Amino acid sequence: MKREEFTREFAEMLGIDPGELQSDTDLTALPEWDSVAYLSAMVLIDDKLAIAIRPELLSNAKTFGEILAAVQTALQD
Amino acid sequence: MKSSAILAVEPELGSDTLTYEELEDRFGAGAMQKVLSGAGIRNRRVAPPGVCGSDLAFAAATRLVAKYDVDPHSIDLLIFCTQSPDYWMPTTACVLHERLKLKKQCAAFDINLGCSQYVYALSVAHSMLVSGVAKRALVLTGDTMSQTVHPGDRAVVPLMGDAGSATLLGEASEGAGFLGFELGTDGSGHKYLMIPAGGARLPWSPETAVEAIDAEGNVRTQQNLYMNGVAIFHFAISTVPGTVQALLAKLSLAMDQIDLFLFHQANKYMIEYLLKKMKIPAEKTHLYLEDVGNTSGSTIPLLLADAWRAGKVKPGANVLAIGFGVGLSWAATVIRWPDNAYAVVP
Repeated sequence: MKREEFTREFAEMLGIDPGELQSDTDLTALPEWDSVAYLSAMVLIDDKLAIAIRPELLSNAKTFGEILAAVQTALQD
Repeated sequence: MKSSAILAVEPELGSDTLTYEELEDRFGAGAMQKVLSGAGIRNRRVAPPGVCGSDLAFAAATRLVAKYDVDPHSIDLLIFCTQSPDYWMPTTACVLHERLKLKKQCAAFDINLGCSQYVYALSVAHSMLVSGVAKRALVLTGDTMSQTVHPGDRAVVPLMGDAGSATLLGEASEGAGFLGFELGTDGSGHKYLMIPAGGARLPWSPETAVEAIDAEGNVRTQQNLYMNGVAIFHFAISTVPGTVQALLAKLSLAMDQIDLFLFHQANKYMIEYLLKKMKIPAEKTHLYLEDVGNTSGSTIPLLLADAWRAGKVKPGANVLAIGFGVGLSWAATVIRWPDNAYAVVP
């Protein structure tokens, strides 16, 4: 999965427009980014990228870029 | 005996219901809609104040003994699984031993585990039966975890229910019974699901009773149950598939040789993802949490009883059960269903 595709699926998971999701997007400012979304993000990463990331990384993430950095090795670009 | 098996299971739910509407009023419609669509829990069966886990276990055991005309004196092993014991001491199994009027030549002890307790206890009972220590075992579960949750904890209140169960184990018919177990522990995660205060390490005090509000607005004290839901979810989806694979490899069984998968009923979303990840068809599992809630260690016996009533548990079927959670601890087993189990009376 490429970064663009991952970003699109992440945005769809949050129910926001993919164009609104950038590396510097402040996730903590999004009302959609809550504990239920953490679980959905974990499933997305586990299912589509087949990697496990530390759960604290999701709940502590400030920006989307921090999540991108954590899954970078599993992305195809 | 060559192998032991489950001969009968009896569930007991908390007598009260904490309804969807009550929690909508407390936490808001949006929050409860997320719980229903995600965790798959609408209503919770809870025990009223003053009712202990042992009371639920006692009710289940009393009904089992009466329904199947079991001679109480044939029981020589009593295991009570709980994390809400009656007392610090004695072990609650001894109290239940007296209440159930069992004979003195009967071993009785508690197992202090949560979501993995039932399968763990089955492994202990099975081991004691096949080694000749005992001949007939009663494995009881009973917890009232809803009473440990702060009413202002919106992350946990909507999930927890209270229940108990009684399971009778005895000699399996030829070729049937427990085929094997896979148990595991990751103590590094013990802080992810705990009641920090009230034990010897941190006794109750005015300080431990102070309410605090976390970043998500959940209220709790150190005397209440705390759950890091993200960490527990991560643990489950990363541990369960490997445990199932390890157990099946140990038993030289393939996934498609399992007729029914019984997962600890913590969260529907989690279970559905585990099914997808392990490529298990939905018809090979069973769900029992929407109007009950997560009843901790009682979810699997409740689930088994409901699946049995629904006709999903048949003689010769291979049933895989797996519990996982607080500890972190997990336990899985495969049971080849015996043809000498009692017929289920609805």
